[in-house]
Amino acid sequence: MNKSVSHRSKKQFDRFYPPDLALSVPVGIGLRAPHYQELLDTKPSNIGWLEVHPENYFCGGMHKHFLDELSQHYPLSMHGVGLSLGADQAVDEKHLKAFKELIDRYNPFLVSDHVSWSASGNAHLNDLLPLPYTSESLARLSQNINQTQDYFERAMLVENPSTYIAFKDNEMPEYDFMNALCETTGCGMILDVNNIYVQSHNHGLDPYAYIDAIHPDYVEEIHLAGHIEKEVGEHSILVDTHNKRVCDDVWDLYAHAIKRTGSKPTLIEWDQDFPTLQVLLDEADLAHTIIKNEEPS
Amino acid sequence: MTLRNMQINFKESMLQSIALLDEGDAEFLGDFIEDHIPVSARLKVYHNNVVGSLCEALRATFPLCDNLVGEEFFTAMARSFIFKNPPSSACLHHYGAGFDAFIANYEPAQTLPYLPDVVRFEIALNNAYYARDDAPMPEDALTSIAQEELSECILSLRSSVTVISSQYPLIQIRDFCMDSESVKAPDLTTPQETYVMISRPQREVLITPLNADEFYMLDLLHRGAALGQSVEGTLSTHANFDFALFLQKHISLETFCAVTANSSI
Repeated sequence: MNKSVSHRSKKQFDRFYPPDLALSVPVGIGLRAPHYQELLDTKPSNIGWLEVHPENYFCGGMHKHFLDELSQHYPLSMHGVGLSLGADQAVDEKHLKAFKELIDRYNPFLVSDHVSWSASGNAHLNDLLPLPYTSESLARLSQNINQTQDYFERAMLVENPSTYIAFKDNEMPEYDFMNALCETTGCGMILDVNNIYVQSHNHGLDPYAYIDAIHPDYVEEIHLAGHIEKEVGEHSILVDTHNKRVCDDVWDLYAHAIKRTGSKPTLIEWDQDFPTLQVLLDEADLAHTIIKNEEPS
Repeated sequence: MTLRNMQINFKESMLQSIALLDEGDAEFLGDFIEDHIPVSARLKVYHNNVVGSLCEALRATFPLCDNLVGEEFFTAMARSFIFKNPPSSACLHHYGAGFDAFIANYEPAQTLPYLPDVVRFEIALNNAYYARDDAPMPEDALTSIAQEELSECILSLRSSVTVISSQYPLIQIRDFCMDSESVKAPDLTTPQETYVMISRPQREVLITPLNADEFYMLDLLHRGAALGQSVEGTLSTHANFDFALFLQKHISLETFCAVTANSSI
């Protein structure tokens, strides 16, 4: 297998989606254990796809049985949380192998991870940690995205992060960093609108200007989630907790994004303090309504 | 600062007490933009995410241990473990292997000598839950082996199977943790040899009490001893061992995945 790390143009991987993909509804939800049985029993038609964290299916057992069954009814998007693409070390081959086995087994319509790092040496810190936006980190991340795309033999997407701290060494704004990654590696972008909202609050930026600065052709998927506000003295930090409904400001920002990008597969994320499935379906309906109202004709 | 050094420093700041962030390395803290919110407060968000999520991962894997020692004790113990033993993989299904050995040397847990065995039991339950989905051995597999070759055969256990021996009544401890109102508190003061098999024949994890001879036999098979050698070893310490009965029981429990004739190894 070619393990070269040279920069490539987007056209070297022919597609992000399988050519015959037709999502019944552009909105999906995260597949999490508390909803396995109800999803299987009811197979709701107001969602068109499911997102999974591949790391939850690296082993055998009950989870894989449910994924086998649900993948018969919904297209899957595999959204990694552990490739640690921004680490100053190569991507772990064991992790790539396990991820690739799932890609081969389930044929997801999208494959993705984050613009962040988690691993340093042998320690894996189980969080999406921040990167300085420098030419050094751009080169390292590009190298690791190329390694991953070569291994998977397909193009992937990377997601803009939520960060709570910023580096003095930053040489460019995050949106330029994201555009540059897509340009140099041919990867696409997950535009996480909630993360942009969180970033903007935490670092005093304009979230609309961020979205306007992202090249709309790079956006292949959009994420929506809830966050919490943590008070620090007289100020506050927003934390991307994925445990609440999407807030009104983020819905407005989403409508703005859809105007620019057109309809894109959109994910409702919820990863702790799980609500009933119906809450997720209601959020999905809201996103679908915005797509129908705001998509450029 | 290079990307690598930043990541090493960042990692080290996560794998230590959160209070130390307030008096952190000035050079490292100086890498970040300081504004109306102190850098240490911003780093604490990451510390809470990293340590909090790993702590909850351990709590989810070790609910009996959490129940026995209480939330506060468990959290302190888990944090100490995490600082010394961060995960080596992004897949956390097996994170916590080694928690039993850690607890055996964890000073505040020295008054709870049964705790490492309870944790060992939970590691086995967790391994069974996430084990590879291998198929059970067909019931007639042994009949396909020539009689004279049986003794040299390897009878392999399913990947979900663990056998445990302990001085503590593990099943009773589990039952008590799950229902402390109607289950009698187990006697943890008088040593009583207990043998247990944990397996997952299909989707559900199964806990099976074993006799001493069964444990010996399964343990020998698990270590890779040939069938004849395992039977002889078991008979040498347990003269009443009934191999036919053992085989019948464990074929029915789907304990084995394959029998391999020595000639084909």
